Formats: sequence, structure tokens, C-alpha cells
Amino acid sequence: MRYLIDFILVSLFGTAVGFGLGLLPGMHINNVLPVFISLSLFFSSPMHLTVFIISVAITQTFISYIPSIFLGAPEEETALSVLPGHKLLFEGRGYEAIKLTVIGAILSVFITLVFIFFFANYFSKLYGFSRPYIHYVISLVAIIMILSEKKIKRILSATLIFFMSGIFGVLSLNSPIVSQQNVLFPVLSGLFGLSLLLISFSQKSKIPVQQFDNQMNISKMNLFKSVILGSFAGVLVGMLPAIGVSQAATLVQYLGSTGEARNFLVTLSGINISNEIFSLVSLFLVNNPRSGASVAIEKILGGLSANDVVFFVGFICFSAGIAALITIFMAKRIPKYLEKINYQQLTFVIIVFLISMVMLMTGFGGLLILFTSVSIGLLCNFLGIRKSHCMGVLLLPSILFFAGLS
Amino acid sequence: MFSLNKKFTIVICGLCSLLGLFLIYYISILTTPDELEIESIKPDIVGHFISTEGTIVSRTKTKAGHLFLTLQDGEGKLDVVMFSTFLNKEKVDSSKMIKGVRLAIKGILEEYKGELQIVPKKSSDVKVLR
Repeated sequence: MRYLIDFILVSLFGTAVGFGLGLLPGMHINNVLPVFISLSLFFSSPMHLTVFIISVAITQTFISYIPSIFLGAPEEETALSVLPGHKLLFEGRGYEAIKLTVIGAILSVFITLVFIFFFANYFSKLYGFSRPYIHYVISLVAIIMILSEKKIKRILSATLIFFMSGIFGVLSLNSPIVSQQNVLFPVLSGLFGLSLLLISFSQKSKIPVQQFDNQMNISKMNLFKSVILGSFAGVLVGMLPAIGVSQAATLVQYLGSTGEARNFLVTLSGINISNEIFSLVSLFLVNNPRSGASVAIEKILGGLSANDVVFFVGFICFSAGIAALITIFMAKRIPKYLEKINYQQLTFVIIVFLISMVMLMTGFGGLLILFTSVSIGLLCNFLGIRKSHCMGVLLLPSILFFAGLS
Repeated sequence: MFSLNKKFTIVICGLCSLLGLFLIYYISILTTPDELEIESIKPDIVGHFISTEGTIVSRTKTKAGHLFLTLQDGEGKLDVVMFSTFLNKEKVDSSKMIKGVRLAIKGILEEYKGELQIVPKKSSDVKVLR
């Protein structure tokens, strides 16, 4: 019993650290994993350190929607949540937006575990079968995404933004001017976060009075569909190199017709948590670590047995439960503060904070990348087309990679 | 306070985007790698553009044509991965890259399964020294 209590305390400590990391835009667990590993002497055993890392990773996945939706300051995995999240926030439904991501994530935890338990072997075969065709699928999605603008002028604008973002992606993701470890931070912060914040700032946006009722304006059918699609796509992301959470979310958004703001938030959070879980257990399933956290676990433990996996799955569920409660708790408190304070001043502080973080993490090269990404993001806004076309920044490099043209 | 004409704003944003793209491309070409000894290459610089040299101590060529080398210099070791697409497209002569030969390499430092590696992208990133 004492043995288990030790692990629970370590997990709670990891949850607290994950909470802090999740609230800080630009701070991903991958940035601090080397520090965690160097602290191994402070943990009773390698298993304790592993439980700590798992708890941090899972909690951060939940909490990171708070800065993304309330402040427009996203992570790589939550970049696409900024727009639907902000849309609901300005409709007075910010609390509902966060609840949707929490429900999507919690349901996906269980569905992902079922997927992994029953279909793990089939996923690797599916990957082998589908790999030669992936660039066709992504290209098809990009075409559907552009044509969905319907009017010819908007289609041309969407094509321009897609290719401009795509060329920007090819250049910046291969550029030596910024460490490739951190390059996505200025790229996605500018395209999705900072450009939106600058517009909010210039328009002197005010957060409307928020509603805290328990109503969820999503049908059970749509919720179920979004969770299943999110969980499935998240596991696929775990299997496929060069496909990230954002690319998968864009694919599912158009192929699965989950584009409506509420459905999309559920799907995105489902993909995010499902990918995180699959990456954590991939070390056991496919003998290949698929995330920074699982690489760290491999370094710490060497490998995983079936018993280890079951033990860690228990702590994944435990951390997810605690993180969900904290996220809901914070989602009720934060909008009340946002209503009271001057949102324009807050937006200014966040803009300065994001630029400072980019400078700190990526230097002047990162600032140049940020300048470009903000310009493209603003161009997309002023052309009046959907922000998802900016995902060309990741989709075009993926198409080129899978087509062997990288 | 002032308000900007929408068309003017679009033109400004478009020009800034193009200027940014050009500058990223231009500065990327001008950027020179950090010259490091293999011993001093540590995981905390993963993602950085580096150049180094060492002696080939292991060489594996797979059936698919991928070439995996391990370079050593002093106590340090570093993996070099050259995929068949790279070797064919860049017309890299890998027959000279054998054990005992010294190789200069540049590229972005990556970490794969806990090991540090460089995956060169252009033929000029790999140079057989002797």
C-alpha cells in the first residue's frame, strides 16, 4: 500500500508540473525532458520517474487548451483550436469550449485504450499498406479544403494562402537559422495565435459575459463521431512519421465533416490525447518510441514489459482524471477574471510575452520566422478565408516528404 | 488612431510575407554550420546545424540501398544516415565510404531512438577526406 501511495504522490507532483507547463505558451514537455532525466537521483526508482513524466505529459495535454482558447496562445498540438475556441469564447461559451475538449479527451482515453488493445497489430499493417498513398490522401484533403471556399475569388485566395504557407513550411522547417527542436513555436504561434491577437488588439475586443451552464450544444451522435474519429486519427498519428496532430485534425475535419467548432474541438482534443497515449505505449507495442516522453522512458527503463504497460495505463487514467477536474475548475475561474480585466491590455501583454518567448527560445532567426508567419496569418484573415488554409505550412512539406520530393 | 484601407492592408501583408520568405531563404543559404568535434556533440544541441568529421568505424548498407555509418573521433561517436533516395538523387558515391576512411559531414543534428545522428541533404554535405 505504501508502495502505491508513493507512486500516487509522484503522479500528483507530475500533474502539478504538467499544469504549470500547460499554462505557459511555448513550453512543451520536450523542452524540459532533459532536466527531468537529470533529476533522476531525486526519485526513488526509474519507475517513479517514469510515472512522473507520464503524469506531466497527460496533464499538459489537457491544460494547454486554456491558454489556447482563452488567450489565443497555442501549442503545436492546439494551434487549430484557437479559432473555434475563440469563436465560442466571444459567443460567451468559453467554458463550454474547454468542457468539450475535456470530454473529448476523457472519452478518447478509454476508446484509444480499446483501439490499442484490440487493433494494435493491424495498425502497423495499415501503415505499411497506406504509406505509398498518403501523399495522395493529403493532397486530396488540401484540394477539398480549398474548394470548400466555393466562390472563385475565395478559392484563389485559399490557393494563394495554402501555397504561401506551404513554401514557408518547406523553408522554415529545413532552415538552419533556428534549431529544428523549437522551430514550430514561431511558425504556428504567428500563423494561428499572434495574428489573431493582433486583430483582437486593434479591434479593442472585449470578452462578453460568459455563461457557465452545463448545456453542451452538440448532439450525442456528433460527440460520439468526433471522439471515435479523434481517437482513431490520434493512433494513426502515433503510427505515421511526418504526420502530426494538426495535419490529422485538418484531414479529419474535411474527410469526416467535423468542421463545426464544437465537433472540431472534441475531435482535436481526442487526437491529441490519443496520440499522447499511443506514443507512450508505442515503446512496448512497436518497440519504437514515438514522442519525446517515450524516448525519455526508453532511456530511463530501457524497455517496457506488458506488466509495466498495464501499470502505466493505470496512471495515464489517474492523471487524465485529475487533469480533467483541474481544467474544468480553471475554466470556470479564468473567464471571470477575463471579464473584469481590460482584455486589450491583456492581449498586449500576451503579444509581448509570445514575442519574448520566441526571442528567448529561437533568437533573431525565430523572430524573422515569426514576422513571416504573422504576415501570412494576417493576410489570411484580411482575405476573409478560413484559417485552416494556413495548415499548408505542414501539409505541403508532408506531401513532398511522402512523394519522395523532400 | 487611424484605420487602414483593407486592400492596402492586404498588399502590405502580402509584401511582408514575400519579404519574410525571401529573407528566410537567403539567410538559410548564408548560414554556416557550427564546427564541432564529435566528442562535444551532446543532445542539448539537437536541431542545430553543425559540421564535424570523424573516422568511419561501422558501415551497413541495407537491401533497400540505405547507408548507415558510424563516425568516431576520440571517445565520441555519431551516426550518419544516408537514405537511398538521397544517394541516388544527389549522385553520392558511397563506395569510398568504407571503414577507416575519414569523413566530413554537415547537417541538422537529430535524435533517433536515443542516438544522435546527422542526415545529410545535399551532396556537398558529405566529403570523403582520405
